[in-house]
Amino acid sequence: MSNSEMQTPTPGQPIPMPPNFQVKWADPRDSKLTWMSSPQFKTSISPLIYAVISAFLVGGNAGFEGAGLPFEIRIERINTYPYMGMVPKAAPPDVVIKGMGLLNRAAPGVFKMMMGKVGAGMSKQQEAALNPIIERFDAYWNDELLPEIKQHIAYFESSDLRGMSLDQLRAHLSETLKRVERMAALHGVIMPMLYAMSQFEELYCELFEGATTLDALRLTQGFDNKTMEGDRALWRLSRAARSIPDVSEILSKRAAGEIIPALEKSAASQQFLADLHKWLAYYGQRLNSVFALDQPSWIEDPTPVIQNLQAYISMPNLRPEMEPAALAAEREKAVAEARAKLAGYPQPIVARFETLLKAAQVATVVHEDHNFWIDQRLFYHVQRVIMEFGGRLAQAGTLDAANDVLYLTPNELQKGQDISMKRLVQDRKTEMEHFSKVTPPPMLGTAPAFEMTDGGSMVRAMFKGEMSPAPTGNSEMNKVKGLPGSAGVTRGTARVIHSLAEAGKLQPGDVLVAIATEPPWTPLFATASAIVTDSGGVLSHSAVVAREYRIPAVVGTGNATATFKDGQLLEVDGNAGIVRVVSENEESDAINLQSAIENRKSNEPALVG
Amino acid sequence: MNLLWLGDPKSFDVALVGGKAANLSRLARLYHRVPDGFSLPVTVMAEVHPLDLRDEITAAISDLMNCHRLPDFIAAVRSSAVDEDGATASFAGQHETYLNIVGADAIIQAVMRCWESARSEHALDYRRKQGLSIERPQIAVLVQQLVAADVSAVVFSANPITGNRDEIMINASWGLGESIVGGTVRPDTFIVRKSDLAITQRAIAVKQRMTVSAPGGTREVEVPRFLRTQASLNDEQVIEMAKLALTLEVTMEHPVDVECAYAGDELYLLQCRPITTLK
Repeated sequence: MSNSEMQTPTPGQPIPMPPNFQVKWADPRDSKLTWMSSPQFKTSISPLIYAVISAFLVGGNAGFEGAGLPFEIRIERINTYPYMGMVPKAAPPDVVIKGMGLLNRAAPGVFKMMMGKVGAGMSKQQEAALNPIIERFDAYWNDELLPEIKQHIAYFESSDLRGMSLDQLRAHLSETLKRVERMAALHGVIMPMLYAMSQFEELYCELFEGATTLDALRLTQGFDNKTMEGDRALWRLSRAARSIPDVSEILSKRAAGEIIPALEKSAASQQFLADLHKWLAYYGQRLNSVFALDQPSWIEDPTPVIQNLQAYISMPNLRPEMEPAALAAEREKAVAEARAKLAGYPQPIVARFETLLKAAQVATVVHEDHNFWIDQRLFYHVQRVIMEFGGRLAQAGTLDAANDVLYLTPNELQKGQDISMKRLVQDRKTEMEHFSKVTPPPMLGTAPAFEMTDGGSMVRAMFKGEMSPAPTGNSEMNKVKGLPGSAGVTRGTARVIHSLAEAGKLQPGDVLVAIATEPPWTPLFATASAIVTDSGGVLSHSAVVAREYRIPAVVGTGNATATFKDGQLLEVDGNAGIVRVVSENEESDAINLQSAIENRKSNEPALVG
Repeated sequence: MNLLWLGDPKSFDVALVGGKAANLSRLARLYHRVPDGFSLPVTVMAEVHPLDLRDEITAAISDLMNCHRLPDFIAAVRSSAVDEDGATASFAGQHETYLNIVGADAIIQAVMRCWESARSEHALDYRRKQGLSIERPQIAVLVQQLVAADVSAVVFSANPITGNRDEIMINASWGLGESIVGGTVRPDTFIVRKSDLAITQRAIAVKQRMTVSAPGGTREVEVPRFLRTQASLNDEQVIEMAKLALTLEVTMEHPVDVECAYAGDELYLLQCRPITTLK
């Protein structure tokens, strides 16, 4: 039995720890909390990455407070794995929690009613905090948050890392972590953002009988955002590449790793190369994954970009720049229809609808733009600071390699020479090596005495985002049921992708199957025929971007990556939220596959010339 | 001239336009913001087929649109028995009400249905039982601008439950008045003391249903959750309605029940009749 399949722990009781994952709690009170492993961090993390994530999560608590949520998130690195704990701000006494747990088992009906009341009370608190923000959400984001976010990025851009002394770098590292915390507070915009989108779709579905969440979200689509802007610019580069025979030749014949050197040697490719570098300088300020501080950024290693370009040039007809117009036309039609239906409704309903529509439209843009500025750019700069530090220490012989800096804590880095860094690094590598062979249990500490059945409208909104609770009922070998993420039905070959390093295997028309797609992955959406994820809800990044790309998506399946295998022909039904295997072998269904690719392009005229 | 405008002194005649239109005409004259419109009097409805009134109705609608600068004329078309709203028998609902009727053609259709329903077996049977004449159906039709009500209310100038004549009771809920009148929604209840217009009771209900305009008529729908438990009237609006009911009670010299509605900030008077069942 693996640790992840441990039996369900008894509510309110200590969770038994597997022999290979014993925990020594630094503070015994921590053992009373429930600690959950996060689906985003399934692997061990090094102490310095933990420090950055921790600073980000601590700062993020400001967002919870601003949303009227009565708890804080804590993160602990337990046996090298990150675990998150929810700490109630005003914890009811143990005896009350125990009582509620007992009540839940003895009289579930009464418990449900009580929790309903608690939920309604919490909802009120959240709504009181969030309604004033979403009523002016455009100004809140564009005038209040974004300028400060850009200032922090400008600070990092203007920092001359090379010119700093080691002491200056130490100070700069502390300053960086402080700014990470502050940026995390600004990142709290995701609370009103999710709330606005969630409230809007809930109201829409209430008002219009038979309407689905996806119908509602059509009214928010087709506004340009940084993700689509960057992806479109990359696509334009691919069109330029197609028109220059030398570039086209290099991109289609060579391996991704050889492309840049080959372009550098080709006289006819210089303009294209300059444009590519220009793209990278602006849009390439990202890591392969938000906290992938141990990996090079796209500027340092543009392989993911090159792979995308290679896929794009093999697709003559794909025109992502056409999507916004179509989406906007669809959107305006749906908005006009909704307004006509509401013409005879009481004014408070019309006013609420308009407020939420506007807020949800802005929120859909913020959904991507906050990623661009914070999740991608901020951590690109953090990585540069850390690597500069590592490089210096390696140069000075304090470390064996620049990357070893990741195995130290910020405190140890502040101390300088008086500790044996190489030894610490070695110990931690050994520890991580040991635990990399252990499956971390999904839950540690004390099992929750009871589950919140309704945490209020903000909690509902959060569950529609990245932290959507995954269904557990999927047990079929060749079919999964998830949530409709983006409308449409299509077929394509499954490609299970765990990290951007594997993205090269995604061919045009394939179905991208992933635990969750991360913000840097979006150029892949132009080549994929559909998106299927294990985690996330209708407001998750994968679903939002799939809608902008007008490709079907099924999200929050729980086990798509475990169920499907590369090469299977899948049918993705984004309306029903169902994905099934049509055939085990792609070759035998080459015709089907071809038609799937054609489907993907069917609305677009053939490229002339 | 077959039509009588609301507010025209000729329209004060109950025997001609029916109790409702006569009342509203007087009220429109006295103060009150009554949605504009016209009556097809009893004499006309008894003698002339509605289709023969086509030109006149069309011209009247056009006048109303010009006068009130309306892009469309959205009407409530109601038939009114001449005996209705008399002091002894109250039979509201016996005849027809058509809401959200847009444009002259649709209004003429609605008038025709009123004309037919007055001749229905059901209507005649009722009149027979009440000892009323069945020789010629005594109905008039009222064509009136439909107020896009945000909140509708029924106001009783005496408490109809306790019989207390010192207090005013207001039932109010979202949307058009049909859900309150038809009893499909539990409305908010406000009690106002007449002596000092103090609000002595506020019972905010969970208002599940509301009637809204829909193409060709009205539709009863769910009230969205965020609005269900919100008070449908603020204190200022409660007092304004109470004052209206008080004035009307004085005018009618009898305790009254009043149908009224807010559209935006404007309070419209839609209906007023004596309370016939008061203890």
